[in-house]
Amino acid sequence: MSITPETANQHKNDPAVVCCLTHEGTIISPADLEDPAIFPDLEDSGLLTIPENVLTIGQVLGKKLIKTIDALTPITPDMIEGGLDQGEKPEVVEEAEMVQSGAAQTVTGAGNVIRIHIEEGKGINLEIPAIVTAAGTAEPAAKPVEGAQEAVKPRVEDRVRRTLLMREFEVKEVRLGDETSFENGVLTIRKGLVEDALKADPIAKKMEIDIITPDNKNVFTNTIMDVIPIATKVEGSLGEGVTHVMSGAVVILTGVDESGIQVHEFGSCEGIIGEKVRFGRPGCPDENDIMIRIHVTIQAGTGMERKGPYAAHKACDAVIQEIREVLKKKPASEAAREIEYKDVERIGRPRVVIVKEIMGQGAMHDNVILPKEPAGVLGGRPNVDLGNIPVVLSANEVRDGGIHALTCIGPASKENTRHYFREPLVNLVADDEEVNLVGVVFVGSPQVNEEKFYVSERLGALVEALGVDGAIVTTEGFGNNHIDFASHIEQIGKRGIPVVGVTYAAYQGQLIVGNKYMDAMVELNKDPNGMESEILGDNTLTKEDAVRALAMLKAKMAGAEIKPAPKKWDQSVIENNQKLVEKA
Amino acid sequence: MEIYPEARPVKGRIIEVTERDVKIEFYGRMGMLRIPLRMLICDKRPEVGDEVELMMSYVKLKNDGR
Repeated sequence: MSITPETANQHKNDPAVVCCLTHEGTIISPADLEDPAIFPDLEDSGLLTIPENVLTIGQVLGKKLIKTIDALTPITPDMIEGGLDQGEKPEVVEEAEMVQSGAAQTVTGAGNVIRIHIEEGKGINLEIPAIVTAAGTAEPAAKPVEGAQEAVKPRVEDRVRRTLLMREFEVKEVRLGDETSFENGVLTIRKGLVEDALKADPIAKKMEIDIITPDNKNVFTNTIMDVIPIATKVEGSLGEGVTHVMSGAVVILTGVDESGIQVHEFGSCEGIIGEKVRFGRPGCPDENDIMIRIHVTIQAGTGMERKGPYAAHKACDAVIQEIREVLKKKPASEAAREIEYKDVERIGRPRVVIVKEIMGQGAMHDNVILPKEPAGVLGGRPNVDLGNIPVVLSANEVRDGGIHALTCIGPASKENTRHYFREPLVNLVADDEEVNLVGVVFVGSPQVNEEKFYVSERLGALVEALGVDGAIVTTEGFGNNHIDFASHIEQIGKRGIPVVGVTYAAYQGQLIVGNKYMDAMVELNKDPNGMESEILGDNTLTKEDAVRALAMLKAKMAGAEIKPAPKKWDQSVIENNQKLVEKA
Repeated sequence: MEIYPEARPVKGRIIEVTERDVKIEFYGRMGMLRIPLRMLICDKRPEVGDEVELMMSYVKLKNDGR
């Protein structure tokens, strides 16, 4: 199959291979060449072997062929009239890199916007983030024009929209006792709660609470439905005021139904807890955390309906609520640490939005948005009930437990409630002085394609209205949610907004759809075989992934070229990119 | 013996739908498969009786599998 001049131009640095039998004396044109996009398939099937001295499409166009060659023959210097100088030998690209080192290193925006008004051009207004001029790879579109120096305004003060004070109280020991209390680092949970908490939902039939200490991880656990921080509002609503949070102890919710079936059948992670949890991931317990295990048995057969898992979460929340009541009363003087989170409008910096695609197919593929208490259940709205349409939260609302995850399948790639509580990408982008994070959009992933495109189009309209200069789209898990993930990126990309995609794909979850806007992608895989490893939190977004994603977005906003990824998953690309951002 | 276990389209029918998964029976009583909803690509809400198609190959027992 021959190619068009546009394709030839796009692939001018790719190997030149003739598509059909080509006779001696032919002046090579795009019509004589094969599309480089299909080379990997041809190579896999043994139809094509590209030698090292192959010429590129740019080098052979317009040259005269001096011998007749068969279809699918790579063109080498000996076939071309006059050959080619050694100096013109094409550079062999050893490895595809998604982030170029040059681009990543030069991203040091001065924090200004340069506005240029060109009189002669009939009132063309260019608004270029300062980040563009800082990056050496950008087009020199911004030639100083008369009056341009006046346009470079002094840096404007950042505007703090809201402040959240988080007081951390350290838990040194957890016990079961007669009354719920929290004194001198010892948390006591009332034994009778196991019966009282079941009143939260009649589908929750039985509850057991036990304590797993960090030195005793060799215990069996049923599937871990969620990992939940214990936090409560003391002043203000979610995202502002004061929140108290316990450190050193975390709740893990596990569940089966009355017939013994794991609530998270398809993606359950029952087993020895020390082997089934990737400790230290944002959504998991840390290595030295005390785990308060709340095990709920729900009505037989309800694990496959929405009401079943939801009942387990509600009953678990009732236990946490009693702990929250004692945590609320702790005096500030007893706090081990205080952290201040600010929602800052960074005036003059490129506006950036984070889009987080969350599950929305029903059953446990649901998330409670903006509960009354941090990481709680009551008062929040499930995104399935909201029709999965995009909902905007501020970074502080996310960090204050604005999302309670009912996530189910794919333990390695699911984002638990604790993940959102300490989301590395939200934290990184919110604190980065070179960009202005305007908000975090949560969009659900419905089952049916038509519904997926409905929500995706609304996302596109929302992002357009936000007037952003860049966007990062993430999704948890894999499967048909990659259809909406790709669509979200397309909706944003086709509006001319630089966009970066972040997901686990690797071997098992490889993308099933794609479009031309998906040229900047960040892989979350950590498993050596690229599989859903059945270890909780294993392939979720970490700080390192967040750093790569933000560096890639900055490079893309600066106009840097992003090299295409290899056709198949290759972990070395990720490792290489990681080294590049660390160096930068 | 050299065999060619290429994936071929296989058809079947949905025989059970829950909010979590669907159960598929292959035509010719050639077995059943349960998959989570996220592995099902659909333009309409899946119902019992709907026809499905997937690429499948023969299953090979791995001699070094344990």
